[in-house]
Amino acid sequence: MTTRNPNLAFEPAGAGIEVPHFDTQSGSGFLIHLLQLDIAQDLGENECRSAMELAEKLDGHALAINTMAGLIHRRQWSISQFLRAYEKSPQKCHGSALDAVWRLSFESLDSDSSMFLGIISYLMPDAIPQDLFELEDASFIHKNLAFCQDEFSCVIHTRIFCYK
Amino acid sequence: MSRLADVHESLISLGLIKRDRTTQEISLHRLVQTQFRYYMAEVQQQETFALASTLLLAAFPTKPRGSHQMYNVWSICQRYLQHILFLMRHYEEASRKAEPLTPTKDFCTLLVHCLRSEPLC
Repeated sequence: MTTRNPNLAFEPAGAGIEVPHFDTQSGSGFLIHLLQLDIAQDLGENECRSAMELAEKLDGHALAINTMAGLIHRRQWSISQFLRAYEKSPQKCHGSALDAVWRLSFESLDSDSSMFLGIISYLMPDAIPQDLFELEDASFIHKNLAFCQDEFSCVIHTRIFCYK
Repeated sequence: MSRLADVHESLISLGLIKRDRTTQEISLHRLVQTQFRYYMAEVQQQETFALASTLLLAAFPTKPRGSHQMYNVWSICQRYLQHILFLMRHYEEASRKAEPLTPTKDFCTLLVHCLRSEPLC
């Protein structure tokens, strides 16, 4: 079975195989393949560079690359032309196809998860230290960070307030 | 289980984030970040931007009193520097939109602390 939920690789499945996203080179090659430009002659340096840039912006996401290839093909644009349009308005280019991929997931998030995901959406996507969120006195910093408060310290504070 | 652990479990099961058990670091796809920033209402965008600034400010080392050097904490600075640079980049991108993000006191203070930790910056 294919899934985005890694827990299913533990149960009911016996094991899981993670399919990673493309690196920039492979993503660029995938885009060019989808546009059937790999069988075209003389793909210019500019087009190759634009394909690499677009693959990098999409971070090798296969569905996103596929969606963008569809747009390029329908509009009969060059990759360079599309890249310029994408840089001006990536949200419009993503459109309903990519929007639908995650919208259901986003809508199902509770307030804590939504807050957490919102915060990390402004950080570098890799190597986010978990201890950035492990605060003893998070609620004293901001009420919306109360979910970061350690459960143990929450119990301690509760007892302190009870005894006062 | 703590609320934070519940958050991790929820986001991992939806395939929105990953967590490395060895390094205790979280990662997510750039497109998830982009799409969620589009999804958030402007109020939540400002709120989460402000909270990201607050958390990074709490984590980023400050220059010890009486010392002109921070080389003993550079490894900690290094850990958070890229995240601060991404935060700053998103702030700059948002400044070109109709509804830009408002810089908070914590955001400005964070940038000052980051500059003082040179030569990393």
